[in-house]
Amino acid sequence: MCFENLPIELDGSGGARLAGGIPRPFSLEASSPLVARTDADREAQISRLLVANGHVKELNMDPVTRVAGALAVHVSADLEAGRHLDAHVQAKLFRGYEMILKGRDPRDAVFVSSRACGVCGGVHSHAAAYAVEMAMGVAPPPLGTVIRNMQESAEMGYDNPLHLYLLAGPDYSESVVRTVNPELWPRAERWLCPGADHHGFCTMADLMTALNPLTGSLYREGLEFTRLSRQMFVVLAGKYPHPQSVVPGGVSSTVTLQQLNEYHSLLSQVFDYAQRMLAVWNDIPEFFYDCDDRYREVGARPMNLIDPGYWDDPHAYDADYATCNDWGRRRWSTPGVVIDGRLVTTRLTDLNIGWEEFVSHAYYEQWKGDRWAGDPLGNPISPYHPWNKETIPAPGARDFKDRYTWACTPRWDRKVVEAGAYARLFTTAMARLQPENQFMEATGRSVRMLVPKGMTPETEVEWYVPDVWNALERNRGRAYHYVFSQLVGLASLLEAYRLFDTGQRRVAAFDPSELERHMPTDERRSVGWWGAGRGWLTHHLVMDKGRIENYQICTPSTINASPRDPWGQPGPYEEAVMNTPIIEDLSDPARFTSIDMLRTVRSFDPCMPCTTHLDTGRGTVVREVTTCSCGA
Amino acid sequence: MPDGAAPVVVVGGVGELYQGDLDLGRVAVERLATEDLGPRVAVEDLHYGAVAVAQRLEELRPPHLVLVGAVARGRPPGSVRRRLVRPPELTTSELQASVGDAVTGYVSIDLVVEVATALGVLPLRTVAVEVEPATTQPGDRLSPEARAALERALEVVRDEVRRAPVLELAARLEAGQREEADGTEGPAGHRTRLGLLRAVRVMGDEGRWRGVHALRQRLRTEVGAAHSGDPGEQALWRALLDELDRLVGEGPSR
Repeated sequence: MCFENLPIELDGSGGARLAGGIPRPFSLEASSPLVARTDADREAQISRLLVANGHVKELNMDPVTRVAGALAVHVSADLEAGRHLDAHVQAKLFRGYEMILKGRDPRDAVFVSSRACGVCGGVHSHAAAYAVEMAMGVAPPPLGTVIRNMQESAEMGYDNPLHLYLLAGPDYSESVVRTVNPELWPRAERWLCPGADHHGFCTMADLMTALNPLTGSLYREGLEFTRLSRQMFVVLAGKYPHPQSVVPGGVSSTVTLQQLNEYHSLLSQVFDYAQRMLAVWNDIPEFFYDCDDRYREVGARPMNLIDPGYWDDPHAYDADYATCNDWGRRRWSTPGVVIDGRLVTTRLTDLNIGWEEFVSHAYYEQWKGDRWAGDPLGNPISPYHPWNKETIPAPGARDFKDRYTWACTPRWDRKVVEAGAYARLFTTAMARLQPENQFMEATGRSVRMLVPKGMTPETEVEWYVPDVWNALERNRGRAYHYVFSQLVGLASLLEAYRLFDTGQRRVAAFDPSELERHMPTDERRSVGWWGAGRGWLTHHLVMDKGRIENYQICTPSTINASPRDPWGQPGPYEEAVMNTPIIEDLSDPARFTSIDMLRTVRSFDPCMPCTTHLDTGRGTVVREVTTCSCGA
Repeated sequence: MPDGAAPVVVVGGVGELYQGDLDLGRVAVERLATEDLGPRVAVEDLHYGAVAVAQRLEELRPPHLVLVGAVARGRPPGSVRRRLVRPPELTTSELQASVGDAVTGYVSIDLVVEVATALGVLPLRTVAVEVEPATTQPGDRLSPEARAALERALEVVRDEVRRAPVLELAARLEAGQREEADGTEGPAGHRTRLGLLRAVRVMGDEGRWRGVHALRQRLRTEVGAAHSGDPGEQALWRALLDELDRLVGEGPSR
């Protein structure tokens, strides 16, 4: 059964309809999820513990305004038991791009939405182009889709090492580990790395030293490879992170064989590096598990993940909502929802109609939501669906029982799902629908990847659906996603050569100067299902009379940083923090760094200004975490 | 700029699109890109992430960098400030925090300077021309205060660019003279020339060029009296005097 909470039934052919006999079927009361543990339960537990002992602390991580926005995490912890009892995540940034776009020419969305992020603006450009071309009814020629795939592979090549080595990596570096986990260091000095042949570090201590910020060889190398991938993107798109050449119906750049060769030359440098990356991020989890089994619980949460798929089959994609389940399943990474470790659907229409966004705990007013009752195929959608949503900011005071964040609460089938680049591996592995190719194979419980030879010989690597889902596995998954994305780049490059050879060199449906002539003036709805370095990215569009009537962007960090939903279910960050044990030495509270919580939050690669300060009751500011501004 | 030639000066606009006056740096270089600022002057839009900006500087390796943008420093809105940028003295963890901000897309003049310092690519001579924003709220237009300040900021940038060749030549000569004088007192004329070159440097650092006419005259006298046997050095002195002539608006002296 696809939907468990929403009153939607699927017929044999995949069409959806509302279950009969339910008045106000999408009301919060009529379709509510089963909530195992409520805020009232948590509150009662904390009260009991407070009476029983004095070890329960409010850890108040206040944001700092050095950056234009922030994410704060507020937790209650039992320091004696080493548990986080409660957590609230607060996004302190209002983006407002939806409001900027209202009333504009839909083509502007490609350029304006890109500015929502300084890291991965390209993904927004592409998502917007997908949304606009679906509304226009214009499909790119095959080479246009292939070039987009290559651009976006390059963007992932930029994004993944950036997170692994420059943002998350320092948490596992010598300089941090010796300070916050001194008990691990002697073990690290003795622990021989199984991946030494690939990454070249004999002991874990050597590897951790190479992760040191600014001076470590892995850190510096990560920085260099982000540059290389940016160059790959620029070879095709002219500039990064805000390309001007992504247009509805394809790309507007002139693509030559020389450019393809340049891309090839840069891409070929990636694969040796990718193998080293895998060895590093395979060894780190094993070391931590070996040292203390509780590291399996750091950042743990149920295996509930979602992704709309990424990188289209150029011969299947036709920009049509009516056929989206067909072309969606032909994507290099398969769309899907995983609930409790089980794939429940791969149909884009199911992803879409099960999607809702709530604002009961966010600084927005509830909208009426009665504009649309169904999608363009007649499948039912909720008043909380993005096509019905309106962005009505309502700033106010922080109140954890009421409103406390600028992030809304996206849910699928009213379940808490997580977004991430690694979600693509789950859905692809389980679905086994990937197009025939020579580099990747989904087995049902793993993805096998054939890494071409560089300095190192051709090697088969395999990512397995893990037994537990936690912070360390997120990082490992991201490393495998790096390989996956670069292989998509390679497969797409080979397809580009083939298309060139057969004379199929058009990259856009028509000249961009003619776009205006093709702009519909009647009312249209569409969605750009795409991906970012952190996973799920959707742009929902409603346009009329050639202008944007409603534009809704949903980024992965909006999903992951979401607050409680109307039924009290915590968002993914909140849930993961609450599941995280406090492993670091607590004998001296003044030296408490909350590294376990920080590793948890960072493992999601939060993409929003995220400044986390920790006050242990003595006013001690411990650590800042700062990331980018779009939420993607 | 001629193809393949390394720039002597990079003018970089640091801005944030759609963030009101914080977009000023991008607007500034959009204007400057249409002007003829000189053969080895590169105008760069540096409104992307600060790490990518630092990597771009690493590729260009200019001896002079002029950054222009809006920075909120609590001064009166629309005020323009020019400052010589010294590499900030930050700890490794502070620099890492800056890189952490930068890789995730943030950019500001301070962040560019911090990250370029962390990566060892901050040009030897970096000047920031900063406008105090009147509004940093989302929006795609500059405030009236920022629009007025933009014109003044552009003038300051043009002045910096015009003066760069003088400072470049003076720096090269000063380095040579210092080497020559190393460990010895040197003749009086030599010390005087070194002093004059230092004076040029100080003018450049402080951005105060009122005494440039007198300085040029003294240099001309001193150079005329000198008997350097090194043709390369002689050429440098002549080039410096020519550039000083250009700077004061009298054209080359020869």
